[in-house]
Amino acid sequence: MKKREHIKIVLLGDKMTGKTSLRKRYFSGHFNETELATIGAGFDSRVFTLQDKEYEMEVWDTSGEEKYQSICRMYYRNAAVAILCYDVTIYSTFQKLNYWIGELYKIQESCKIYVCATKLDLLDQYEANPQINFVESYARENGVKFFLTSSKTGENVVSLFDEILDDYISNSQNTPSCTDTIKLPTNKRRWMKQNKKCC
Amino acid sequence: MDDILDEMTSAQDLKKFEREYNITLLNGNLDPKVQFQYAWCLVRSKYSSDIYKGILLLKNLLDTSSMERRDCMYYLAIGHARIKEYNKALEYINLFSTTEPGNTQIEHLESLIRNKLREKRDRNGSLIAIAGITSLISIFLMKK
Ligand SMILES: Nc1nc2c(ncn2[C@@H]2O[C@H](COP(=O)(O)OP(=O)(O)OP(=O)(O)O)[C@@H](O)[C@H]2O)c(=O)[nH]1
Ligand SMILES: [Mg+2]
Repeated sequence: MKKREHIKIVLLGDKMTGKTSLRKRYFSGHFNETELATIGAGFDSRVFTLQDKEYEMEVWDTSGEEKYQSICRMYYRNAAVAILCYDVTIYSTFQKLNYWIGELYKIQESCKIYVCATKLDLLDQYEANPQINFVESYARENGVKFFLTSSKTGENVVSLFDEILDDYISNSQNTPSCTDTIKLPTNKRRWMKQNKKCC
Repeated sequence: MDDILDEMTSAQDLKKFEREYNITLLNGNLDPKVQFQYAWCLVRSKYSSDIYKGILLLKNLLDTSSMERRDCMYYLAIGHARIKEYNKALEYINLFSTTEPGNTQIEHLESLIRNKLREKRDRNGSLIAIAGITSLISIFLMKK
């Protein structure tokens, strides 16, 4: 049987920034105007095959509430990707991004970060706060990709996840992963040595 | 990882929150937040004895603290489901039907629990069937 590779993605950000809505929009295509605060964490997963290899993407969205912050850190463990969400119209949620990055790095420093400004549809009525070009330069300086999404209209939601998966897969093809070294043993001793080192 | 009922706290994390909880106990200033966090780790433990303890702590919170009610109810349902007390788990799920009808997170947990309950019934059903057949055979053999 083929070994399935897991891609763990976590969603972080203040409460009410739309993390659950983003996950649900991606997985079910629905949007709920009255989404309730998440208790602990929510989860969705999807299996897909690409170039003869099986992947499972697991998406965890954690509660932004204070009481969950120290326990929800456990969900960051082994995450390959983090989507940091802020509400495009609420400055304080943007300010908190550095805090969330700190929380993430306490557990998983190798995690790749994407910044996501949510509720893009609200820009029809409200100003972006901070200005979009300010966030763009923040993202550039920190070497992370920046996306604007709306879970209400669905705009950019699929392309955000597509790009994350593309980046992940092209990156894991360049650097041999655990499964690669196991699949292609050149001789037994080397195989054992490498096998012990990884996973 | 198949679903939220399967995920577990590591022994290390459990230890950490246990220590924090014990410190507040010793100092005599019990903090509902610390109690909740420890209970949260317990109900997601690998061991049933931990889960039982977590259930007790959550019940205690539900009775004594006005905070975290929905959180306690949710993790009480998870705790009971993880020790296969599915009907008790569903009782806590039912409490949400008045306060938060249509909460999809709750509906999702409910469907997981109902599936487990059905599996358990099917398994018991086939065990009873097997037991029935074996006793028929032994009666038959005895008669011979
Ligand atoms: N207009 C608009 N509203 C949105 C969008 N995404 C989420 N919302 C609304 O924002 C509120 C909060 O969304 P949630 O997805 O529950 O936010 P969350 O980050 O998961 O919140 P916590 O679970 O409490 O941490 C809900 O009322 C959503 O309907 C969006 O793209 N556009
Ligand atoms: Mg949420």
